[in-house]
Amino acid sequence: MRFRVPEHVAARTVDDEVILFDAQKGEYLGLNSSGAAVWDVLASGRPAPDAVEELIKRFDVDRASAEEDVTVLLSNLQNLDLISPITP
Amino acid sequence: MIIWSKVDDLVDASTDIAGLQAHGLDLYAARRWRLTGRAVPDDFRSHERAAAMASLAVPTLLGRIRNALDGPILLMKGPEVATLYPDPTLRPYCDLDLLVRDADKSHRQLVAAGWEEVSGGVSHHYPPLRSPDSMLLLEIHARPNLPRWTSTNIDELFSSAVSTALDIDGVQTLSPAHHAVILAAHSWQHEPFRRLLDLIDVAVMSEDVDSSVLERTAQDWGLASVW
Repeated sequence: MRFRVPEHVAARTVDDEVILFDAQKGEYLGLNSSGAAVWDVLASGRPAPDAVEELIKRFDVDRASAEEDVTVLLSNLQNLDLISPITP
Repeated sequence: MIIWSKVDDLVDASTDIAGLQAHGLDLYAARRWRLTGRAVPDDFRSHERAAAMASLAVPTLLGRIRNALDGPILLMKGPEVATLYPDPTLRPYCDLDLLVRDADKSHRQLVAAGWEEVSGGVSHHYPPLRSPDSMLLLEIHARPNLPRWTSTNIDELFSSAVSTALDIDGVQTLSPAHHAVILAAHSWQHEPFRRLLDLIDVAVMSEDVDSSVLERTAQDWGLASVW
């Protein structure tokens, strides 16, 4: 599955972190370096498994941990309406 | 633009953290130092986060301001000048300066829309306002803050206004020539060119403006000596 960033969400990269801003709620969310890596993959329209590969490659984590991290972050981002699935 | 290579040279040579902060160049230095493998001080990193948060909020705030006000709105200084930097988060600012036709009415409209007065007024603008969910202050101006001897024509500022680079419907900004001279005069008004940032602002805003136009504008406004 691929995702898109809703119009009401804006992002800025600061060093290796990403700050997200929800313009509807006026709220911010900061992502650390691994979260930012996942965000970069998803926000660019690539599928979630690519984010798993990115974590394994960049952060030397095992596949199970990477998959769990991506699943949890993706769930949180969707619950906060910061990212939306692209429906075919 | 040649000025950025000069700023690069300056921050490359600097080890004066407090000096870079005082001159408004810590955000620029943070990015440059990171690119060149130098350690970035924690204070710089904190300021980078705050600057990123501010820049993210500006379009939303301006849209809300636009909806709350009638009449033309001209965005001055900080966020508009920042669009001329290599990245808009490299130019620090802590407020939005808006020039409006009827500052008293605009101030009342914003308060009615939920903006809160922050502190007592100062001579050149109404009490700063803050939206409860924003760290940025909003200053409403009936006229730019310029030395008393100037003869700025407010009508001319509005009639020459151009679209803001931030692309907010219904919000404009000063023409580059007017903006450059106002930036110079404003800096002079506070404390003549106390920060390198002020000089950089004037330089980037002047970049595409014929020097004769700038000189004539400064002269017409009684600012030839400042310019």
